[in-house]
Amino acid sequence: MSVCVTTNYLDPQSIYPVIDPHRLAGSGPWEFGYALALDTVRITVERNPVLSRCEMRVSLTTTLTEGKEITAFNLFANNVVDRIGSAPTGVTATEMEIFKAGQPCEAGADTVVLCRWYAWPRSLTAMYTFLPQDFWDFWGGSNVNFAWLRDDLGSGLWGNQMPPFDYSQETALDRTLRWDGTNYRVVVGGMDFVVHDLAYLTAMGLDRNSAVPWAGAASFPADFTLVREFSHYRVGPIRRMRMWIVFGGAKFHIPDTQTLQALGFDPSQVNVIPEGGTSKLGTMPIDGTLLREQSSSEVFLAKSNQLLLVPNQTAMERNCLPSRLVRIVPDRALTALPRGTLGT
Amino acid sequence: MTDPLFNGSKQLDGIVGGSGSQTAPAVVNGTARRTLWVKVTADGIPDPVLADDLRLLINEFVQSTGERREPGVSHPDTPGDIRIATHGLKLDPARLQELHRLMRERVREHMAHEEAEE
Repeated sequence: MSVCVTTNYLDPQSIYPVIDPHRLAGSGPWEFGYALALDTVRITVERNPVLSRCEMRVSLTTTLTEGKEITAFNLFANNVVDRIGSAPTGVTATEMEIFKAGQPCEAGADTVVLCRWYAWPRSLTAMYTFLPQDFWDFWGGSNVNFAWLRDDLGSGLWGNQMPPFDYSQETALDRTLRWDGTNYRVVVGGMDFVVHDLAYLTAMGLDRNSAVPWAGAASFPADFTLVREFSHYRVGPIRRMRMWIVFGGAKFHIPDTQTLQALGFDPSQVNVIPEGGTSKLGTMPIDGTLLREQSSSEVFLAKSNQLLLVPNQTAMERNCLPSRLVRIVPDRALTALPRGTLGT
Repeated sequence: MTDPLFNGSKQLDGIVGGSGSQTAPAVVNGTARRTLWVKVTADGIPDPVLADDLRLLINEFVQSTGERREPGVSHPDTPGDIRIATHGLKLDPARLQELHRLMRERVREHMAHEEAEE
Protein backbone atom coordinates (compact mmCIF):
# COMPACT_ATOMS: atom_id res chain seq x y z
CA MET A 1 0.00 0.00 0.00
CA SER A 2 1.26 3.43 -0.89
CA VAL A 3 0.47 6.17 1.59
CA CYS A 4 0.82 9.94 1.10
CA VAL A 5 0.81 12.13 4.16
CA THR A 6 0.67 15.88 3.53
CA THR A 7 0.77 18.58 6.15
CA ASN A 8 0.74 22.24 5.44
CA TYR A 9 -0.05 25.39 7.33
CA LEU A 10 -2.72 27.19 5.34
CA ASP A 11 -3.04 30.91 5.72
CA PRO A 12 -6.63 31.58 6.89
CA GLN A 13 -6.43 35.13 5.53
CA SER A 14 -6.42 33.80 2.01
CA ILE A 15 -9.09 31.12 2.45
CA TYR A 16 -12.60 32.12 1.35
CA PRO A 17 -15.84 30.18 1.86
CA VAL A 18 -16.92 27.78 -0.87
CA ILE A 19 -20.66 28.11 -1.49
CA ASP A 20 -22.31 24.70 -1.53
CA PRO A 21 -24.70 24.62 -4.52
CA HIS A 22 -26.34 21.48 -3.12
CA ARG A 23 -27.93 23.73 -0.50
CA LEU A 24 -29.47 26.04 -3.10
CA ALA A 25 -32.61 25.75 -5.18
CA GLY A 26 -32.59 24.37 -8.71
CA SER A 27 -30.02 22.47 -10.72
CA GLY A 28 -27.90 25.43 -11.72
CA PRO A 29 -25.81 26.81 -13.22
CA TRP A 30 -25.25 28.99 -10.17
CA GLU A 31 -23.68 32.44 -10.22
CA PHE A 32 -21.87 33.50 -7.10
CA GLY A 33 -20.49 36.95 -6.40
CA TYR A 34 -17.23 36.95 -4.47
CA ALA A 35 -16.21 40.32 -3.08
CA LEU A 36 -12.68 39.36 -2.08
CA ALA A 37 -10.35 41.63 -0.11
CA LEU A 38 -9.18 43.73 -3.05
CA ASP A 39 -10.95 42.17 -5.99
CA THR A 40 -14.38 41.24 -7.29
CA VAL A 41 -14.93 37.89 -8.95
CA ARG A 42 -18.04 36.16 -10.25
CA ILE A 43 -17.87 32.38 -10.02
CA THR A 44 -20.20 30.26 -12.13
CA VAL A 45 -20.63 26.63 -11.11
CA GLU A 46 -22.30 24.34 -13.59
CA ARG A 47 -22.70 20.60 -13.13
CA ASN A 48 -20.99 18.64 -15.89
CA PRO A 49 -22.41 15.12 -16.24
CA VAL A 50 -19.34 14.01 -18.20
CA LEU A 51 -17.02 14.70 -15.28
CA SER A 52 -16.69 12.53 -12.19
CA ARG A 53 -16.72 14.31 -8.84
CA CYS A 54 -12.95 13.82 -8.72
CA GLU A 55 -12.63 16.11 -11.76
CA MET A 56 -13.29 19.77 -12.46
CA ARG A 57 -13.03 22.04 -15.47
CA VAL A 58 -11.73 25.43 -14.39
CA SER A 59 -11.74 28.50 -16.62
CA LEU A 60 -10.82 32.16 -16.32
CA THR A 61 -12.33 35.14 -18.10
CA THR A 62 -11.27 38.72 -17.60
CA THR A 63 -10.83 41.93 -19.55
CA LEU A 64 -8.67 43.60 -16.90
CA THR A 65 -5.34 45.05 -17.95
CA GLU A 66 -3.33 43.60 -15.10
CA GLY A 67 -2.49 39.91 -15.53
CA LYS A 68 -4.46 37.31 -13.61
CA GLU A 69 -3.60 33.70 -13.07
CA ILE A 70 -5.32 30.72 -11.49
CA THR A 71 -3.01 27.96 -10.41
CA ALA A 72 -3.96 24.40 -9.56
CA PHE A 73 -1.92 23.61 -6.47
CA ASN A 74 -0.70 20.30 -5.05
CA LEU A 75 -0.01 20.66 -1.36
CA PHE A 76 2.16 17.52 -1.06
CA ALA A 77 4.61 18.81 -3.63
CA ASN A 78 3.87 22.36 -2.46
CA ASN A 79 3.83 23.23 -6.10
CA VAL A 80 1.72 24.26 -9.06
CA VAL A 81 0.47 21.38 -11.24
CA ASP A 82 -1.35 23.46 -13.84
CA ARG A 83 -2.20 27.08 -14.53
CA ILE A 84 -4.43 29.29 -16.60
CA GLY A 85 -4.06 33.01 -17.08
CA SER A 86 -4.87 36.17 -18.94
CA ALA A 87 -2.66 37.48 -21.73
CA PRO A 88 -0.30 39.76 -19.74
CA THR A 89 0.93 36.78 -17.69
CA GLY A 90 2.16 34.96 -20.78
CA VAL A 91 0.03 31.93 -19.89
CA THR A 92 -1.98 31.15 -22.97
CA ALA A 93 -4.48 28.61 -21.60
CA THR A 94 -7.70 29.95 -20.13
CA GLU A 95 -9.18 26.57 -19.29
CA MET A 96 -7.79 23.54 -17.48
CA GLU A 97 -9.17 20.20 -16.43
CA ILE A 98 -7.94 19.22 -13.01
CA PHE A 99 -8.38 16.13 -10.88
CA LYS A 100 -8.36 15.72 -7.14
CA ALA A 101 -4.93 15.08 -5.65
CA GLY A 102 -4.29 11.63 -4.29
CA GLN A 103 -2.14 9.17 -6.18
CA PRO A 104 0.73 9.49 -6.85
CA CYS A 105 1.33 12.00 -4.10
CA GLU A 106 2.54 14.80 -6.39
CA ALA A 107 -0.28 14.43 -8.93
CA GLY A 108 -3.57 16.28 -9.01
CA ALA A 109 -4.71 19.43 -7.34
CA ASP A 110 -5.82 20.04 -3.78
CA THR A 111 -7.20 23.50 -4.52
CA VAL A 112 -6.78 26.50 -6.80
CA VAL A 113 -5.08 29.79 -6.00
CA LEU A 114 -6.15 33.09 -7.55
CA CYS A 115 -3.09 35.17 -8.32
CA ARG A 116 -2.41 38.73 -9.52
CA TRP A 117 0.50 39.81 -11.64
CA TYR A 118 1.28 43.15 -10.07
CA ALA A 119 2.86 45.69 -12.38
CA TRP A 120 5.30 46.80 -9.72
CA PRO A 121 7.13 45.02 -8.25
CA ARG A 122 6.62 42.81 -11.23
CA SER A 123 5.73 39.50 -9.71
CA LEU A 124 3.00 36.96 -9.36
CA THR A 125 1.26 37.20 -6.01
CA ALA A 126 -0.99 34.49 -4.61
CA MET A 127 -4.06 36.19 -3.23
CA TYR A 128 -7.03 33.96 -2.59
CA THR A 129 -7.77 30.27 -2.21
CA PHE A 130 -10.30 27.77 -0.89
CA LEU A 131 -10.18 24.96 1.66
CA PRO A 132 -9.37 21.76 -0.27
CA GLN A 133 -12.16 19.68 1.29
CA ASP A 134 -14.85 22.27 0.58
CA PHE A 135 -13.48 23.04 -2.86
CA TRP A 136 -13.78 19.44 -4.03
CA ASP A 137 -16.84 18.40 -1.99
CA PHE A 138 -18.94 21.29 -3.29
CA TRP A 139 -17.60 22.01 -6.77
CA GLY A 140 -16.18 18.62 -7.85
CA GLY A 141 -17.75 17.33 -11.09
CA SER A 142 -18.52 20.84 -12.32
CA ASN A 143 -17.37 23.47 -14.75
CA VAL A 144 -16.19 26.37 -12.62
CA ASN A 145 -15.65 29.70 -14.31
CA PHE A 146 -13.90 32.57 -12.57
CA ALA A 147 -14.82 35.90 -14.14
CA TRP A 148 -12.39 38.41 -12.63
CA LEU A 149 -14.49 41.57 -12.80
CA ARG A 150 -12.54 44.18 -10.85
CA ASP A 151 -9.13 44.56 -9.27
CA ASP A 152 -9.67 48.06 -7.89
CA LEU A 153 -12.49 47.29 -5.49
CA GLY A 154 -13.35 44.48 -3.13
CA SER A 155 -15.00 43.98 0.22
CA GLY A 156 -11.88 44.82 2.19
CA LEU A 157 -12.37 41.54 3.99
CA TRP A 158 -9.82 38.76 4.04
CA GLY A 159 -10.88 35.15 4.33
CA ASN A 160 -10.52 34.99 8.10
CA GLN A 161 -12.71 38.10 8.43
CA MET A 162 -15.42 36.72 6.20
CA PRO A 163 -18.55 35.38 7.89
CA PRO A 164 -19.64 31.89 6.86
CA PHE A 165 -22.00 31.85 3.91
CA ASP A 166 -25.59 32.16 5.07
CA TYR A 167 -27.76 29.53 3.43
CA SER A 168 -30.90 30.86 5.09
CA GLN A 169 -31.00 33.49 2.33
CA GLU A 170 -32.54 30.74 0.24
CA THR A 171 -35.57 30.72 2.50
CA ALA A 172 -35.58 34.48 3.17
CA LEU A 173 -38.04 34.97 0.33
CA ASP A 174 -40.38 32.25 1.54
CA ARG A 175 -44.05 33.31 1.43
CA THR A 176 -43.24 36.07 -1.05
CA LEU A 177 -46.22 36.49 -3.35
CA ARG A 178 -45.65 37.04 -7.06
CA TRP A 179 -47.90 37.86 -9.97
CA ASP A 180 -47.03 36.55 -13.45
CA GLY A 181 -49.84 38.37 -15.26
CA THR A 182 -52.18 35.39 -15.01
CA ASN A 183 -51.58 33.70 -11.68
CA TYR A 184 -50.36 34.40 -8.23
CA ARG A 185 -47.33 32.38 -7.22
CA VAL A 186 -45.92 31.84 -3.77
CA VAL A 187 -42.23 31.24 -3.11
CA VAL A 188 -41.10 28.33 -0.95
CA GLY A 189 -37.49 27.14 -0.73
CA GLY A 190 -36.50 29.21 -3.78
CA MET A 191 -39.18 27.72 -6.04
CA ASP A 192 -42.58 29.21 -6.68
CA PHE A 193 -45.92 27.42 -6.70
CA VAL A 194 -48.97 28.58 -8.65
CA VAL A 195 -51.94 29.52 -6.47
CA HIS A 196 -55.07 28.09 -8.09
CA ASP A 197 -57.36 28.62 -5.13
CA LEU A 198 -57.49 32.13 -3.70
CA ALA A 199 -58.68 30.64 -0.40
CA TYR A 200 -55.03 29.69 0.06
CA LEU A 201 -54.06 33.37 0.15
CA THR A 202 -56.73 34.12 2.73
CA ALA A 203 -55.78 31.16 4.89
CA MET A 204 -52.09 32.05 4.70
CA GLY A 205 -52.74 35.72 5.42
CA LEU A 206 -51.20 36.78 2.12
CA ASP A 207 -52.34 40.10 0.69
CA ARG A 208 -52.84 40.17 -3.07
CA ASN A 209 -51.80 43.81 -3.09
CA SER A 210 -48.38 42.81 -1.80
CA ALA A 211 -47.65 40.67 -4.88
CA VAL A 212 -44.50 41.62 -6.77
CA PRO A 213 -43.88 40.95 -10.47
CA TRP A 214 -42.78 37.41 -11.24
CA ALA A 215 -39.12 37.25 -12.18
CA GLY A 216 -38.51 33.58 -12.71
CA ALA A 217 -37.65 30.97 -10.13
CA ALA A 218 -35.65 27.79 -9.66
CA SER A 219 -36.94 24.54 -11.10
CA PHE A 220 -37.07 22.91 -7.66
CA PRO A 221 -36.67 23.95 -4.03
CA ALA A 222 -33.47 23.80 -2.03
CA ASP A 223 -32.55 20.66 -0.11
CA PHE A 224 -34.19 20.38 3.31
CA THR A 225 -37.32 22.26 2.19
CA LEU A 226 -40.32 20.83 4.03
CA VAL A 227 -43.76 21.12 2.49
CA ARG A 228 -47.34 20.05 2.84
CA GLU A 229 -50.25 20.98 0.61
CA PHE A 230 -53.03 23.34 1.56
CA SER A 231 -56.33 21.53 1.78
CA HIS A 232 -59.51 23.55 1.27
CA TYR A 233 -61.95 22.57 3.98
CA ARG A 234 -65.01 23.22 1.81
CA VAL A 235 -63.98 20.99 -1.08
CA GLY A 236 -64.39 17.30 -0.41
CA PRO A 237 -63.14 15.51 2.69
CA ILE A 238 -60.28 16.93 4.67
CA ARG A 239 -57.29 14.93 3.56
CA ARG A 240 -54.55 13.80 5.81
CA MET A 241 -51.89 16.49 5.63
CA ARG A 242 -49.00 14.65 4.04
CA MET A 243 -45.58 16.12 4.72
CA TRP A 244 -42.68 15.91 2.36
CA ILE A 245 -38.99 16.73 2.46
CA VAL A 246 -37.13 17.74 -0.70
CA PHE A 247 -33.68 16.50 -1.66
CA GLY A 248 -32.20 16.85 -5.14
CA GLY A 249 -35.54 18.20 -6.37
CA ALA A 250 -37.42 15.03 -5.37
CA LYS A 251 -39.98 14.74 -2.62
CA PHE A 252 -39.82 12.12 0.11
CA HIS A 253 -42.82 11.38 2.26
CA ILE A 254 -42.60 11.93 5.99
CA PRO A 255 -45.24 9.69 7.53
CA ASP A 256 -45.72 11.44 10.87
CA THR A 257 -44.52 14.15 13.22
CA GLN A 258 -42.37 11.69 15.19
CA THR A 259 -40.42 10.87 12.04
CA LEU A 260 -40.13 14.56 11.21
CA GLN A 261 -38.66 15.24 14.64
CA ALA A 262 -36.40 12.20 14.45
CA LEU A 263 -34.97 13.68 11.25
CA GLY A 264 -34.12 16.81 13.23
CA PHE A 265 -36.95 19.10 12.18
CA ASP A 266 -39.77 20.90 13.89
CA PRO A 267 -43.38 20.97 12.62
CA SER A 268 -43.17 24.76 12.43
CA GLN A 269 -40.60 24.38 9.64
CA VAL A 270 -43.12 22.72 7.34
CA ASN A 271 -44.30 25.14 4.63
CA VAL A 272 -47.87 25.05 3.43
CA ILE A 273 -47.90 25.22 -0.37
CA PRO A 274 -50.91 25.58 -2.69
CA GLU A 275 -52.95 22.49 -3.45
CA GLY A 276 -51.36 20.44 -6.22
CA GLY A 277 -47.95 21.95 -5.49
CA THR A 278 -46.24 18.66 -4.70
CA SER A 279 -47.03 17.43 -8.21
CA LYS A 280 -44.35 19.87 -9.39
CA LEU A 281 -41.76 17.96 -7.36
CA GLY A 282 -40.10 14.88 -8.81
CA THR A 283 -39.82 11.38 -7.41
CA MET A 284 -36.26 10.68 -8.58
CA PRO A 285 -33.62 13.15 -7.37
CA ILE A 286 -31.18 14.72 -9.79
CA ASP A 287 -27.90 12.98 -10.59
CA GLY A 288 -25.34 13.27 -7.86
CA THR A 289 -27.77 13.30 -4.93
CA LEU A 290 -26.65 11.06 -2.05
CA LEU A 291 -29.34 9.47 0.10
CA ARG A 292 -29.66 7.15 3.05
CA GLU A 293 -32.72 5.87 4.87
CA GLN A 294 -32.92 6.82 8.51
CA SER A 295 -32.32 3.36 10.03
CA SER A 296 -30.03 2.05 7.34
CA SER A 297 -26.32 2.49 6.72
CA GLU A 298 -26.69 1.93 2.97
CA VAL A 299 -25.89 5.02 0.92
CA PHE A 300 -27.29 5.50 -2.58
CA LEU A 301 -26.14 7.77 -5.37
CA ALA A 302 -28.76 9.02 -7.80
CA LYS A 303 -27.58 8.58 -11.35
CA SER A 304 -29.42 8.21 -14.67
CA ASN A 305 -32.80 7.67 -13.02
CA GLN A 306 -31.50 4.96 -10.71
CA LEU A 307 -30.31 4.79 -7.14
CA LEU A 308 -26.88 3.20 -7.17
CA LEU A 309 -25.84 1.47 -3.96
CA VAL A 310 -22.43 2.73 -2.83
CA PRO A 311 -21.02 -0.51 -1.41
CA ASN A 312 -18.70 0.89 1.24
CA GLN A 313 -16.78 3.89 2.51
CA THR A 314 -13.87 3.09 0.22
CA ALA A 315 -16.17 3.42 -2.78
CA MET A 316 -17.41 6.72 -1.38
CA GLU A 317 -13.87 8.06 -1.12
CA ARG A 318 -12.71 6.59 -4.43
CA ASN A 319 -15.57 8.32 -6.23
CA CYS A 320 -15.06 11.57 -4.29
CA LEU A 321 -18.55 11.30 -2.79
CA PRO A 322 -18.60 13.42 0.36
CA SER A 323 -20.23 11.79 3.38
CA ARG A 324 -21.39 15.20 4.55
CA LEU A 325 -23.63 15.50 1.50
CA VAL A 326 -25.56 12.31 2.29
CA ARG A 327 -29.19 13.28 2.91
CA ILE A 328 -31.27 11.23 5.33
CA VAL A 329 -34.82 10.30 4.37
CA PRO A 330 -37.49 8.38 6.30
CA ASP A 331 -37.33 4.58 6.27
CA ARG A 332 -38.89 2.99 3.20
CA ALA A 333 -38.82 6.33 1.33
CA LEU A 334 -36.43 4.84 -1.23
CA THR A 335 -38.17 1.49 -1.65
CA ALA A 336 -40.03 2.32 -4.85
CA LEU A 337 -37.08 3.80 -6.71
CA PRO A 338 -35.15 1.70 -9.27
CA ARG A 339 -31.81 0.35 -8.03
CA GLY A 340 -28.35 -0.43 -9.29
CA THR A 341 -24.87 -0.77 -7.83
CA LEU A 342 -21.98 1.62 -8.13
CA GLY A 343 -18.68 0.05 -9.10
CA THR A 344 -15.95 0.13 -6.46
CA MET B 1 -29.94 38.89 -5.22
CA THR B 2 -28.05 41.98 -6.33
CA ASP B 3 -25.14 43.98 -4.99
CA PRO B 4 -23.62 47.26 -6.18
CA LEU B 5 -20.25 45.54 -6.57
CA PHE B 6 -21.67 43.21 -9.15
CA ASN B 7 -23.59 45.75 -11.20
CA GLY B 8 -23.91 44.50 -14.70
CA SER B 9 -23.96 40.89 -13.60
CA LYS B 10 -27.17 38.96 -13.87
CA GLN B 11 -29.02 37.95 -10.73
CA LEU B 12 -26.69 36.14 -8.35
CA ASP B 13 -27.44 32.96 -6.45
CA GLY B 14 -25.17 33.90 -3.57
CA ILE B 15 -22.77 36.61 -2.50
CA VAL B 16 -19.68 36.25 -0.37
CA GLY B 17 -18.55 39.49 1.25
CA GLY B 18 -20.86 41.70 -0.78
CA SER B 19 -22.36 44.35 1.41
CA GLY B 20 -20.05 46.60 3.37
CA SER B 21 -17.62 46.79 0.51
CA GLN B 22 -15.07 49.52 0.75
CA THR B 23 -12.26 51.06 -1.20
CA ALA B 24 -9.92 51.37 1.78
CA PRO B 25 -7.10 48.87 1.97
CA ALA B 26 -8.09 45.67 3.69
CA VAL B 27 -7.09 45.32 7.30
CA VAL B 28 -4.93 42.26 7.58
CA ASN B 29 -5.35 40.42 10.82
CA GLY B 30 -1.77 39.66 11.69
CA THR B 31 -2.70 37.55 14.67
CA ALA B 32 -4.76 35.11 12.68
CA ARG B 33 -3.73 31.58 13.58
CA ARG B 34 -2.53 29.49 10.73
CA THR B 35 -4.48 26.31 10.20
CA LEU B 36 -2.67 23.00 10.16
CA TRP B 37 -4.06 21.07 7.24
CA VAL B 38 -3.37 17.34 7.07
CA LYS B 39 -4.34 14.93 4.34
CA VAL B 40 -3.68 11.21 4.10
CA THR B 41 -4.36 9.04 1.10
CA ALA B 42 -3.79 5.29 0.93
CA ASP B 43 -3.54 4.08 -2.66
CA GLY B 44 -5.17 7.35 -3.63
CA ILE B 45 -8.12 6.99 -1.25
CA PRO B 46 -8.44 9.67 1.44
CA ASP B 47 -8.41 8.56 5.06
CA PRO B 48 -9.88 11.50 7.03
CA VAL B 49 -9.79 9.63 10.36
CA LEU B 50 -6.06 9.00 10.16
CA ALA B 51 -5.53 12.57 8.94
CA ASP B 52 -7.28 13.91 12.02
CA ASP B 53 -5.26 11.61 14.25
CA LEU B 54 -2.01 12.82 12.68
CA ARG B 55 -3.08 16.43 13.01
CA LEU B 56 -3.45 15.95 16.76
CA LEU B 57 -0.10 14.17 16.92
CA ILE B 58 1.65 16.99 15.04
CA ASN B 59 0.03 19.71 17.15
CA GLU B 60 1.09 17.93 20.32
CA PHE B 61 4.60 17.35 19.00
CA VAL B 62 5.12 20.93 17.83
CA GLN B 63 4.01 22.31 21.18
CA SER B 64 6.09 19.86 23.20
CA THR B 65 9.44 20.99 24.59
CA GLY B 66 11.35 18.64 22.41
CA GLU B 67 12.26 15.88 24.86
CA ARG B 68 13.08 12.73 22.97
CA ARG B 69 10.96 9.73 23.57
CA GLU B 70 12.32 6.21 23.39
CA PRO B 71 11.71 4.93 19.92
CA GLY B 72 9.21 2.09 19.75
CA VAL B 73 9.66 -1.00 17.64
CA SER B 74 11.62 0.10 14.64
CA HIS B 75 10.40 -0.72 11.17
CA PRO B 76 12.67 -0.61 8.17
CA ASP B 77 11.40 2.05 5.80
CA THR B 78 10.21 0.66 2.54
CA PRO B 79 10.90 3.29 -0.10
CA GLY B 80 7.67 4.65 -1.47
CA ASP B 81 5.71 2.89 1.23
CA ILE B 82 4.77 5.89 3.36
CA ARG B 83 5.66 9.25 1.90
CA ILE B 84 5.46 12.30 4.10
CA ALA B 85 5.60 15.96 3.10
CA THR B 86 5.55 18.45 5.93
CA HIS B 87 5.52 22.10 4.97
CA GLY B 88 5.85 25.10 7.23
CA LEU B 89 6.52 23.31 10.53
CA LYS B 90 9.82 25.12 11.17
CA LEU B 91 11.44 22.26 13.11
CA ASP B 92 15.16 21.54 13.18
CA PRO B 93 16.17 18.50 11.13
CA ALA B 94 16.50 16.17 14.13
CA ARG B 95 13.06 17.07 15.47
CA LEU B 96 11.55 16.81 12.02
CA GLN B 97 13.07 13.36 11.61
CA GLU B 98 11.63 12.35 14.97
CA LEU B 99 8.21 13.66 13.97
CA HIS B 100 8.31 11.74 10.71
CA ARG B 101 9.23 8.57 12.62
CA LEU B 102 6.25 9.04 14.95
CA MET B 103 3.92 9.74 12.02
CA ARG B 104 5.11 6.60 10.21
CA GLU B 105 4.52 4.57 13.35
CA ARG B 106 1.03 5.96 13.67
CA VAL B 107 0.24 5.24 10.01
CA ARG B 108 1.47 1.65 10.36
CA GLU B 109 -0.56 1.12 13.53
CA HIS B 110 -3.64 2.47 11.82
CA MET B 111 -3.17 0.34 8.71
CA ALA B 112 -2.58 -2.79 10.80
CA HIS B 113 -5.74 -2.05 12.74
CA GLU B 114 -7.69 -1.52 9.51
CA GLU B 115 -6.45 -4.82 8.11
CA ALA B 116 -7.38 -6.64 11.31
CA GLU B 117 -10.89 -5.18 11.10
CA GLU B 118 -11.45 -6.41 7.54
